[in-house]
Amino acid sequence: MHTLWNKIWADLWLVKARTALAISSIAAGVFCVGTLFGMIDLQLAKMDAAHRQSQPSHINLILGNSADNSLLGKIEAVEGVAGIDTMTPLTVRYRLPGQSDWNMGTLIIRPDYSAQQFDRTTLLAGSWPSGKHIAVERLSADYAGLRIGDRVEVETLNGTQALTLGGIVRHPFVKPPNFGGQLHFFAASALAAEFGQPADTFRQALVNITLPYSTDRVRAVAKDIRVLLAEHKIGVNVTLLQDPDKHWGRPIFAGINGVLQIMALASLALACVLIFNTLSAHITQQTDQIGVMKALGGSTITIAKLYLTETLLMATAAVALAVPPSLAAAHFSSCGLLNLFNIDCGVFDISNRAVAFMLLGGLLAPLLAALVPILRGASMTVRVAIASYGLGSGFGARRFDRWVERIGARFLPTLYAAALGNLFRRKGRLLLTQSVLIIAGAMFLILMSLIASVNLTLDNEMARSRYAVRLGFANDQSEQKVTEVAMSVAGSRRVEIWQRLPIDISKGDAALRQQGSLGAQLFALPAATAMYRPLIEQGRWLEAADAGRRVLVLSADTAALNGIEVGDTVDVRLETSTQKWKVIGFYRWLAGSNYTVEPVYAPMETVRDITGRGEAASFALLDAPIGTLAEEADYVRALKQKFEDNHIKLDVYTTQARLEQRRFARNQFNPLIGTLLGLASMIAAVGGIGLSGTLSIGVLQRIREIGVLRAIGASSKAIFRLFLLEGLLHGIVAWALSVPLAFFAAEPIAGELGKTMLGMQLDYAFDLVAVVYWLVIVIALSWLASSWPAHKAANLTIRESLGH
Amino acid sequence: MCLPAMKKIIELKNVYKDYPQAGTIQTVLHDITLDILAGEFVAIVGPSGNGKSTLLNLLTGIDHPTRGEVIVDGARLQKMSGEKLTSWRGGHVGIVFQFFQLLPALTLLQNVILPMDFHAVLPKRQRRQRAMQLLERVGLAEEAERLPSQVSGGQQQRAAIARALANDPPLIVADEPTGNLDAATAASVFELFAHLRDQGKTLVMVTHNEELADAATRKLEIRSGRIHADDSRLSGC
Repeated sequence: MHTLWNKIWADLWLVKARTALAISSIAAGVFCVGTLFGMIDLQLAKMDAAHRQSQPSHINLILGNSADNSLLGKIEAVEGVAGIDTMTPLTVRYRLPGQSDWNMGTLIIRPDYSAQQFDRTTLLAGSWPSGKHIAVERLSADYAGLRIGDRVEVETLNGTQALTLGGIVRHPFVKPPNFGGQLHFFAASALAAEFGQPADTFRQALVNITLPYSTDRVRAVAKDIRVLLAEHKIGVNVTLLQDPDKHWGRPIFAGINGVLQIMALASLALACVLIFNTLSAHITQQTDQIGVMKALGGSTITIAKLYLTETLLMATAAVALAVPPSLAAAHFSSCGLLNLFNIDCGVFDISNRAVAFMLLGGLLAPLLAALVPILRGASMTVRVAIASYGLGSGFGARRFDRWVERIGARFLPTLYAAALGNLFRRKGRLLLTQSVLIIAGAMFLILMSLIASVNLTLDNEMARSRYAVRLGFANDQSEQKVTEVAMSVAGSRRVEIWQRLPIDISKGDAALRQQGSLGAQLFALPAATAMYRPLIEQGRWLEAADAGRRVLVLSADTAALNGIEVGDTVDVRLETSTQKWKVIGFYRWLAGSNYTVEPVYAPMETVRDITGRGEAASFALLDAPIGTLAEEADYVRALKQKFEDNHIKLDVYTTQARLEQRRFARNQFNPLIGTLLGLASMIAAVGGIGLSGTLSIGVLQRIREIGVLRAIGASSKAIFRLFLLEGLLHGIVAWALSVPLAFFAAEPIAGELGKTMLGMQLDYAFDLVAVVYWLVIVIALSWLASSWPAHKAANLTIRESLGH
Repeated sequence: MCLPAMKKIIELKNVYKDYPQAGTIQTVLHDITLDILAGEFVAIVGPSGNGKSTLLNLLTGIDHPTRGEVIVDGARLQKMSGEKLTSWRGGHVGIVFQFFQLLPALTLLQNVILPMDFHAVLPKRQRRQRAMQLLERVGLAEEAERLPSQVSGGQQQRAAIARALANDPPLIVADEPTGNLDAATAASVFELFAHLRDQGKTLVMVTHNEELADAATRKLEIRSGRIHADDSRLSGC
């Protein structure tokens, strides 16, 4: 192999464009694999580590009203309870330095920051809250630009107070302000009374059960605690159950990660397609050299080793190029995503698995891809290899070729008909080049349809909600008062009152398992409601005649999970009484299993009869003529002011403005969709690189043909146009093939992506406008990809070409 | 002039060669029976497209006869596998192509070393020295480190001849070795072949060059795939 090392080096160095093409193709694939697998590993590992570090509570009960600390002993005495900690989240009005408007935020009070047991708040800077010094959650500090030492004005029972920020903390369970979360502040229990919170009370119980942990045991203990609390007239609005070892956000990532892994492998496979293409062309170009080497005594194995060594060297260079940026990208991307879950990603870390995949994939995959063309070339006979008949043959033998030739002859000038024929000359290479572009196109169109489907789903859901604003109250209010206040605000057309109650449902002896990660709540609404109608998948929605009847509408997912059919009877415990209710319908729950409470709908008339809670209002749904976000914001501001003026506290978590909710819901998908679109762009770029490579190699292979064309009068411009047109035809053919592929594949794929990645069952829409966008993109890409090879071809002299 | 009694280095016995072409079978060589003795300088002449190069390919094992036998230096070529032929060819035949066919990425010296690397009979440390000697013989010692693109056509062809001699094969086969050269350059190549002939190499050459053909000890004329004339100036002894 001694002299052949010189040939290897010369082959790689003298045709730098081809070497660069091959290396960049492999590097792109390796980069994708490393980044995506790295992201997955780092995210999950850090999520779980952060989760465990916070000492997560197994049961987190958000109460409907304050509970006295004397209940703690009783809760601890419940069988299966290992320990209990408490917190009190309060809704407060605050004003930041320099602001004139008041905003709604959350103030969390913990009894003893230095002795927290569960769901620990971590001090990041400054000091723990004490006296009039409060702390701010770090996401809130970043969002609002708050620093230690800033003073925040808050409304208390006795007026306003300026509290100093003494510390910045991280709390494991806050909704990022970017996604609609409120600012979170933390205070010591000494401040509780200022906000009307009685001393020695709590509103959130954090409970751990005795080991071993199991979901059935934790559910049973949670139910027992709720029963105990109900006996003491303490309602539970939300029950959150957490796995002690796995972060609650894992299910959200599970679907995403599966798709990301497939995409990573797909990008490596596409890179291998390019390698196959590039090496096939390289071997073809060196056919006569292979023949000579064989004539001189070079064996098939020696020649195969030569080209495999070239491939290995390129692959090694590609891996060396791709690994460092990939590790960095994996770390920083996962940090970005972890930040959404308020997890600090810590020091730079790498995934060993991702490194192993990059090395293995980056070295092995190209060798495997190159094996077929190399073995094919190396096993050529001398005669075949060194035979050279004119300017090449092969096109025209098949009926398809003659059909292409007829189309070209009929519709195109001769030179451009040649471009059409050249396109189909090497069908294998055409297929390989096309495959990357077609996949890129199909992926782009499917993703655009996914976006269109998300928008359609959100629009349809909004159309089913006929209210403009839903106000949630921190405590149940008088229906009459709420209605009066609401209708006194300009723009209010209609008010509908709903009630919210904790609920336990079981079928037989088994408690119902819910899809909702925050458990289920009963939403009692007028049977003849005009404000809301979810998408009913089976059975029916509530009707006027249901008033007074014990009927329920459940989420379809929960029904499926528990084997419940329409018409089934279930046991429902409301406050202290348990009765049989009939299931009359299933609704499709848009939010799926995301971080939210799952509604169970029932007629308010019935619920009031059972609970005797006459005119209590948990929610007020308001109809108003709102067209824009600005109008909505004005209306909501007016409402909030009016209710505050009437000393009615709104609950920030359950107050929703419809347009703003749609915007927040849409925002949540942006990072994900952005990632997928980024990947589609990368694949399109790989396709463009492949096309450029194919055309460059075409120029080299047809170099004598170019000389002949020039000799018979073709100008540089004509030669340029010939190759440019061939590139454009590549793009147009790829577009034409990707559209029907995407059309048929988009609905099932978008549906699956919606379910696994977004936790939503989507209403499907195929984005026809995206088809036009893709045509423009692919034409631009083809233009760019073919310009350089066309330029090279146009600048070849006759002497250079014919002497080749 | 007579050659002393010498062994046959090439034997062709009733050799036919057919090619499929446009749905029919084209017979390119008809019933060729031919012996070439060691040390002969054979020029194969005749009009284009009449089977001369095909005959040459059969002698080197690049192609196989449809019928008949080809024996070169004792080896029955059609019975050898592709890999065995490759290996055999490296040590027994030196090929000189019309278009030189030097590997463009290797220097002249490296091109000459290449067959020695493939054949791997000469120890590694001796290959460079032998290659330099061969290049000296063909007058290219000073151009040894140049790439083919940096030397003239005549120099490339001389380098190709040096390469063909790398493993000291008994048989040199050349297909139109001066076809791409001007007259003066062709003359220098012709001298080289004459020198090889004097050294006792067996040379078989397809040529249109009258001068080169006249320098041969035997002229075979191929027409329509048959031996039309076999003019051996050494025959009759």
